Amino acid sequence: MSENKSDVILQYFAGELDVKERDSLFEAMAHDESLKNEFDSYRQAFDAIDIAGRKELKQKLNIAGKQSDVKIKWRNRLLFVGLLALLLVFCLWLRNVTKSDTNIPINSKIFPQNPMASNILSVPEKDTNVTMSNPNLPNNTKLSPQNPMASNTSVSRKDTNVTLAQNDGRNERIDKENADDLYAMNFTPYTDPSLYPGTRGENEQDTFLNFMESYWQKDYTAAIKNFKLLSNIQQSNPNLLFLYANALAANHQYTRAKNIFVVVAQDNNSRYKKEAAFYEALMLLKLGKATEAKSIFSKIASDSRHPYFIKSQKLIKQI
Amino acid sequence: MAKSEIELLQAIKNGQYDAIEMVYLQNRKKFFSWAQQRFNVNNQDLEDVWQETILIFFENVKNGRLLILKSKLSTYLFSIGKIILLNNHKKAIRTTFVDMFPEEEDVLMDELEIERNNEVSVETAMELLGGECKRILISKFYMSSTIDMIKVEFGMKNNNVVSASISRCLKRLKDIINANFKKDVRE
Repeated sequence: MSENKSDVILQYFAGELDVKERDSLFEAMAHDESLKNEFDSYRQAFDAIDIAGRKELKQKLNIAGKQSDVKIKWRNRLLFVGLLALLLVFCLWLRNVTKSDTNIPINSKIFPQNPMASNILSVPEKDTNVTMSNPNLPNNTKLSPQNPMASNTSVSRKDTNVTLAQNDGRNERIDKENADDLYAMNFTPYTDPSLYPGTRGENEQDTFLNFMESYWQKDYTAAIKNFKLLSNIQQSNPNLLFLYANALAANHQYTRAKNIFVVVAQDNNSRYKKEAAFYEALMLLKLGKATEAKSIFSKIASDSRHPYFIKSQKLIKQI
Repeated sequence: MAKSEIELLQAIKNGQYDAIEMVYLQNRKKFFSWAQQRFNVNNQDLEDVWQETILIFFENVKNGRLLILKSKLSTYLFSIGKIILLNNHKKAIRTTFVDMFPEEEDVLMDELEIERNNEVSVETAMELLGGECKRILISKFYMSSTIDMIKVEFGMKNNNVVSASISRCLKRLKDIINANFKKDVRE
């Protein structure tokens, strides 16, 4: 009977009794003191469990909260350190960029579709006397190594005209512009100290001296005129022909210049045989024959002793 | 109510502590920033309030008072937290220092003392019960874990062993309480 009473009380605390059963339990307790005592004992036991349960759950949550705080703290620290590292890397990168005036990654980022953007400011290895006054540069190309922004502006102006090239005609125009830019960047009439007219002998003919002087003075129009005054023998000299072709190229007579460079490049007696090959390729580039030009540059690039070895390698990449 | 929320409530009803902890942690920071904007409470008090909020939420789910959520869970929790914070605020306002207590107040103080003693003895009874019995009873009757869950949690052989352990522990607790109360009454 006692076990039966306990079961009913347990069912009550488990919420398993319906209204009728609950009423009968309370009625029985009103008449049965021992049942009431038993009920009170269970009630206190369940109160104790509830209090202890709450306390335990609260403790567990407290620990979980503290662990979460520690995790968040560490995560924030890591994030801070990461950001600091990123900032440091960025600063180093920025320093490197500003240090080197031959490297303009900002340009290449803004104008990734135009490979020339990174070349505008680059100084050629051999021909270092490319200046703003170079008559061979296209009108829309400004060379200003001291002021990178100036050339950026010119590139951006050009880019606005040629973005989203979708048809062949436009692509061709871009290629032509590209070739023009490459030519402008790399062509400078040949010069070296041995061409200085003062080193020539006094018994040389005046016409020859005039030609050399005008070439040395970079007066290419006069140089062309003076070349025509030379004797036939002199005019067929491959070394003088090479200089004459340079003067022609400087005066925008590319086809004639190219033809002469071809002859000089094939002449084994010429001291400018190798140089003439490079200039021939440049003329081809200017004349829009990029494939032929590339083939000559490739030959030069395969000869590590060629004076234009590095320059040709770069050009091959840029064409 | 989203399916995930129904599953969450069911998991809490089944006494899965992980589900309670998830609710506690997921909304904790949000509650802190929400409460700090509205109440002048320090972090420790807020922690207490938030724990109390979760306990009330858990008990409501367990007792079947919360079957479905009509709003977002966070809204429900914040409304509980808000009530607790307001009650605490009212209590703080009501608590004023009186220089001399009237004589009749002594009686009330005595009653409060007795109530506190009862609570202490009930708590002591659970401590006297011993670690495993205490955990089994809490798991079964406070967390409402199923017999199967308790079997797994305590590594018991079968469900009969679990049921027997629960009955034995409950009887021991009842005996401890009876013994303590008899002693209290005698004193």
